[in-house]
Amino acid sequence: MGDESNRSILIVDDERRFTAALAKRLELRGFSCCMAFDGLSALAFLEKRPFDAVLLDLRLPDVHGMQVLSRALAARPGLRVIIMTAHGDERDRRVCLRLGARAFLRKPVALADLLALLEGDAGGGG
Amino acid sequence: MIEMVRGLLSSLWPRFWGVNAETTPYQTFVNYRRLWLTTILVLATASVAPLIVLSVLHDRLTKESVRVERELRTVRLASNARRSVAHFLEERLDALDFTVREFRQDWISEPQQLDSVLEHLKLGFGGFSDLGVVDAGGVQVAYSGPYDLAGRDYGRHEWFERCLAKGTFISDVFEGFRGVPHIVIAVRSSPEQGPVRVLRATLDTERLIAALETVKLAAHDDVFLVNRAGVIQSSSVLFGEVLQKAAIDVPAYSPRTQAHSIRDPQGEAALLGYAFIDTKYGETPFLLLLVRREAEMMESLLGVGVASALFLTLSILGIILIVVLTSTYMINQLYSADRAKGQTMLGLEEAGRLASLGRLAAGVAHEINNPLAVINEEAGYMRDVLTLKEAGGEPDLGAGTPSTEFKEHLDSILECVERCGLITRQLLSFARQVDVSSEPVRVARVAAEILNFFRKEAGYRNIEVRLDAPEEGLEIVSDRGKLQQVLFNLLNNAFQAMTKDGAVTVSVGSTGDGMVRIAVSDTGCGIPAAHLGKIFEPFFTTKGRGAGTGLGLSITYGLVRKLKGRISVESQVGVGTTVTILLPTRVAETSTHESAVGR
Repeated sequence: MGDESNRSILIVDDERRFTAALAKRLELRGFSCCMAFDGLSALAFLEKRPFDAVLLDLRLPDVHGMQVLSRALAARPGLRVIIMTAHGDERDRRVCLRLGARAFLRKPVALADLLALLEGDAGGGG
Repeated sequence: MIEMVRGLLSSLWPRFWGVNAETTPYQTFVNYRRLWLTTILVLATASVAPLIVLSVLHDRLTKESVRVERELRTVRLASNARRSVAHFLEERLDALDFTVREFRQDWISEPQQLDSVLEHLKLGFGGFSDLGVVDAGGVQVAYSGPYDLAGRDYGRHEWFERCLAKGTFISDVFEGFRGVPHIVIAVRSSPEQGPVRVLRATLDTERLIAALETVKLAAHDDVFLVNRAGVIQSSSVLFGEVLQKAAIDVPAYSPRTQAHSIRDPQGEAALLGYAFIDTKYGETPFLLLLVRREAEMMESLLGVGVASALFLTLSILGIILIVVLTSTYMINQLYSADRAKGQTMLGLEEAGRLASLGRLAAGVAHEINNPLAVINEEAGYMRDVLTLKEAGGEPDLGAGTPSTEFKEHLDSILECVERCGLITRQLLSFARQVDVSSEPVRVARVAAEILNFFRKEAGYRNIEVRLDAPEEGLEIVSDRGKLQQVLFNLLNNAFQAMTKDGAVTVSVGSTGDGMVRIAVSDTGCGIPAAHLGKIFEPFFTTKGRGAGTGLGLSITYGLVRKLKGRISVESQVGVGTTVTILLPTRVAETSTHESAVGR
């Protein structure tokens, strides 16, 4: 489990309990996690540090997740962004995948699915 | 047969008569009865009135022409009678004139000769009773007849003087010695024949009357003579016997035969034809009168009148029957179409209710996914820790012991469960009230409940949500489920009108006249004035194809009407929209129409 310990992940979600619990679980599995609770601070984190992956919610208190997604990918093409949302519908999924998200997961997410996406070399679809 | 009559009656009588349309929503024409009655009245009047006017005109024209025709006929009859009488008198005056010219006085004054002449006159003309020769002094020098009148002196008599002056004379009728009506006629000899003498004869009037009788067309025609003073000269059926004064105004002299309307002595309307009798020897004292009763002349017309009245009545009845049949049929069709539309709308209303429930359910599912995700991670983390421990590892729990940390995570889970519970309770409160028709409802509380569904959404889109309800306890007796649906639809519309930033305000207050006013205002895109009149129409939508059904507001409208309320919209493009609902504090118990409409 510790093989990929150098993997760094940014978790962006305004649901703090969720963010914290998920970060702890990923850290137990050898990832290093950062947390952002709104879109703008997420973008600020992304400027400062080269994360390997971003777990992104769509509904954020300031900017919409899709904006964060497109801006992050504009700054760093090829960044592995995984959308995790409670609200998204089929249309949102298609838009996000077109924008460049690696995957579109609906909450609650099974950790095994998430790990498979994070550990796989090529991220699969939704 | 009975079936046919019943069928006809049912097609005359409208189906909607007993239905109280006021309680049925979505109907275009509320008062079908009035529509039906007005249609029948207008159509019947328009078709029957010309017929009646024509008939009246025709009737008048017929009567007028009959009157004229009758008058002409009366004049003609009177003329004929006049000619008969004039001819009768002229013939006898001619005979006397011939006699007085043809025979010498001394010859004719011989009694045997005069008897012979009288005998010839009686045989040739008839009507002569006696004959006398009067000399220039007025003395009757010879006489032939039933009385001994020879030597009588007429010198001072008016008739003698008038005969000398004018050449002829005709007397009024008088009763002679035997009580039989007679006329005296006299002719003077011409001066160039020597000494003047006058031939005088008495005529009985039987032949004259016989001549008059031939003129009569019908038994009830009354033909008789009067003199210029109005004394009857030949007996009359209606006006009395000979030598009585007739109860009639003697008309002024006219050389022509005339006719005009009078009342006979029995007071009946009659037509009077009259003619003054003139001979070639000059005027006579006589007028001929012909009286014909109107009623008796009208008998023939009566048949025609009855027939045309019958025809008119049948035509009017026929027209009215057709008008009623057509109107009933057409308005029945209209009613059926309207009713079918109403039924469809009721179905759509139900569909709309389900659709808003569906939208709500989708929203709730999303809303529940967030706490579920938290629970998932919290529980998953604790499981991770326990699994590590069993494997002999010592997870880094940071500060604090496992039990304090687990407590935190469990609290978080319980809190999330609580959140889920709250959401499902709200959903239940929305869905619960479907069957209850009326109960006390706190308007402000319902508004707050519905607003809760939108708070999260509002938060994400930075839309401020305000509930302005100064009267916390304001209560109405109404259908809670319908009220919730109305508010949900209106708030849904308000949120759709806005993208980001803005405010939605729900204000609740009483108007003071037993109504409660609920206004939902947004600061969204607004509705163009051209659309304002149509927004309550079913299937009116400005959203793209497939985006909206166009039923939201029309269903809301139907619901508000069911709650006996009114709904109005004010809007300004780019500024916002306010939908105002006025609801009565108490809805009358009108659950009957739903079963009547057949849900």
